[in-house]
Amino acid sequence: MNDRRDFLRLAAAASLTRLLADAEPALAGERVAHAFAAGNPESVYAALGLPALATSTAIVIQAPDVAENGAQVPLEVTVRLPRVQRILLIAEGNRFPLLADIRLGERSKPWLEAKVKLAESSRIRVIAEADGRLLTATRDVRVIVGGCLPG
Amino acid sequence: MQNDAIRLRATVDEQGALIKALLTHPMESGFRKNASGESATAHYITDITLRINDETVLTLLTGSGIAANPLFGWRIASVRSGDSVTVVWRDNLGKTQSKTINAQ
Repeated sequence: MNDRRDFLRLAAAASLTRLLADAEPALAGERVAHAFAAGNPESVYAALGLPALATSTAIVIQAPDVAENGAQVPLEVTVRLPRVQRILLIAEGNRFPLLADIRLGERSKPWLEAKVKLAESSRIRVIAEADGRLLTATRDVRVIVGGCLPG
Repeated sequence: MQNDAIRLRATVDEQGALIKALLTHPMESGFRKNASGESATAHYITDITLRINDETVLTLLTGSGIAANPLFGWRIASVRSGDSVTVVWRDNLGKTQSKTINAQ
C-alpha cells in the first residue's frame, strides 16, 4: 500500500493519476490520444505522465533478431513479477512509437503475444507497472523490409 | 453481434486458459501513400476488451503500430471449460465487432 502511495506521489502529473484511477477496478482505461500521436519515445512517456524507469531483467521480450517483414513482427512478452497491472509496448523507431497500452485485471497473467509493425530496424521497449513500480526492458530487432512502406 | 471476422480460441489448462484472437482489420496508419501519392485514410483498432463470463479481465488500447489482421495471445487464470470468452474491438471510425465462444 505504501509503495503505491509513494508511486502516486512520484507521478505528480495529473494525467497519470487519472489514468490509474480509471484503470482500477473497471479497467476502463481512458485513451490518451496524443500519446499515440507522439513522435518519439520521450514524448510518449511525457504524454502518459510516466516518471523515470528502472531497467529490469524480470521483463522478457521474445522477438526475432532479424525480421524479414516489418509489417508482421511477432512479439512475446513475459513479466516475471507479481501484480502486473499495466504493460506498454513501444517501437522506438516508429513514427508513432506507442503500439499498445494494456491494462491487466487480477486474473490476467503478465504474458502476451502480439504482432506489431516496425518501420525500420529499431529497439522495442516494454514498460511494465508491477505493484506500483515502473520497470522497463528493451530488445533490438533488425528489419529487412520496413512495415510502413508505400502500398 | 457475432462475427466470423474474429477467430477466437480458448484452451483450458491447469494454469487457466490460453486465449488466442485473430481479428480482421486493415490497421491502416494513414501515412502510407499509394503510387499516385494519395494517403490512405487512417483506420485502426483503438481498443480491445477481453471478458470472461462478463467480467472484464483485460483491456488493450492500441495504435496503428499493431500489425494488420491483429493476432494476440493472452493467459487468464481460473478459467473453466464452458466459461464464456468474449472479445470486443472498436476502431477509430467507430466500428465495432465482437465474438463470444465457450472455453474448451
